[in-house]
Amino acid sequence: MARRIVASLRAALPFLVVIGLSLLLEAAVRAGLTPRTIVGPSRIFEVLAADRRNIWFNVEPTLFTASTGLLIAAILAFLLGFLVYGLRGLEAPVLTVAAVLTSVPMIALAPALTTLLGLSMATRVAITAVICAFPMIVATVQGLGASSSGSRELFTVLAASPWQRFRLLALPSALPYLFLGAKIAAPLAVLGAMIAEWTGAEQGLGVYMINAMFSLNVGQLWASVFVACAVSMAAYGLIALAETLAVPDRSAERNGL
Amino acid sequence: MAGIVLTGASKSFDLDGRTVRAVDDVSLTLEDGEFGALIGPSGCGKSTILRMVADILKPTSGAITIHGAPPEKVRRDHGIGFVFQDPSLLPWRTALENVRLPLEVVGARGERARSTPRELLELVGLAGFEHAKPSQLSGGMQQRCAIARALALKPKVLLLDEPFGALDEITRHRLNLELLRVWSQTRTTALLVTHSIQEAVFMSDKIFVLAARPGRLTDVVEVKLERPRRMAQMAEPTFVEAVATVRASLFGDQAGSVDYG
Repeated sequence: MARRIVASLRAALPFLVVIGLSLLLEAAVRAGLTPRTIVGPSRIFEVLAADRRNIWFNVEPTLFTASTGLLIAAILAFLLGFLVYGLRGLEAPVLTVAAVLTSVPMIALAPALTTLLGLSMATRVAITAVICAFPMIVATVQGLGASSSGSRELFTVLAASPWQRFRLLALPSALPYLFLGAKIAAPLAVLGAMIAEWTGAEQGLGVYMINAMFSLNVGQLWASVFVACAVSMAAYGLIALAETLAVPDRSAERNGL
Repeated sequence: MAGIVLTGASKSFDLDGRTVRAVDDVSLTLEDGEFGALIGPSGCGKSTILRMVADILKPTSGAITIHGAPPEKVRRDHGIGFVFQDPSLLPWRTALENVRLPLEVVGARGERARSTPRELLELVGLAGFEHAKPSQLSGGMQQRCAIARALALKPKVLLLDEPFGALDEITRHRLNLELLRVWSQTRTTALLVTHSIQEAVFMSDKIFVLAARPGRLTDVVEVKLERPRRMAQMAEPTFVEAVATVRASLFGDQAGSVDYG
């Protein structure tokens, strides 16, 4: 009994900390201890409730940009991973180019791509895809090469065809890595979509945030920060959920990756 | 007909531009249905020899035949059963699905009489564990599962690379007995790599003793113990003598003496 209480307390602890900090912030704001550019949680919820139509209107395109960008990046990563799986010699060049691309600051990349491709949804999706491709490329390349030497020899002894080797060994071995890459990339996709919107869009969470900033509407600004966090966490959670459904006992963390 | 024949088989590897001779001019014959053991110190090329028989590695020179055919043909015809030191079970498959893997790979291509995966699991004493994942099985059970998988296609030869090397001695003895029981039911030509003298003698009809650097065959010891083998035979003079012979071949003049130099 006591053990169960301890266990549930441990599970609840992160939430208790967040609630505690929020209450502390609220108290500090009400007591006038904070600068006026900081608003309390209650004010954020007020804005969220009052401005919900406008916020949803702006969140929708961001969700679309982020998920499409993530999907394109995943497809790209998978194709590159497959290529490297077939031609091991390509591993170093592919990873190097990907690393160089990801070393370019996102905030520099976005305007550069926008001037190149013009102001459009396609441009914003492309920016997002570039930003979240790297972790997925690394994860796919590593994952497809992750099978043990014993199991590779087993497939040799079984005289398996290259396709059987890929389908029955390499791909299932790679799954935990693919999910790990996607979990890192999903919040990046939300970030990427917002950065893309900053460089030019009519609507989107990034636009809402910029507008709030330039009109010094701190309530809306913090509300947009809150929504951005929530969307990022939801994106991560969705991938994690898909992972528990697809590979119930083999998540990468559990195998110590 | 001879089961496994090596004629002057050699294998060299390139290591940093240097050529290392892992196996040097090994010739040996194991008759059809016999149980053979390869024993020797580490670096004597015993695993390399096994991998050449399985056509995982190609010999640099010399020839190998299995029932008169080259290993590549036997492998392509799915005639090789291999048990690795590390069980190498696919962690996302259940025990039953792991045993079924060879059948899936062969698909409709192979038309041979097969035992069903379920029967094979029963044969190795894993009835009731069909749906367990490898991570839920003990090391010994995982290796039993790997043996069942190796037998799934009724192979012409069963090759075992220190299958019980990572297990404790008690489990190891028990699995050796089980392996002999399974083998006696299939009578497949079997070749076992081991570094345990007792295990080699207990299991085999013929022991090939190897020396290291370069890996070469130094002696062949025939074991005249009657089958089926029982633990009690380990106390018999024939067993003790065979162990002494193998030990003498392995250590030469150093046997039984300690050099305090």
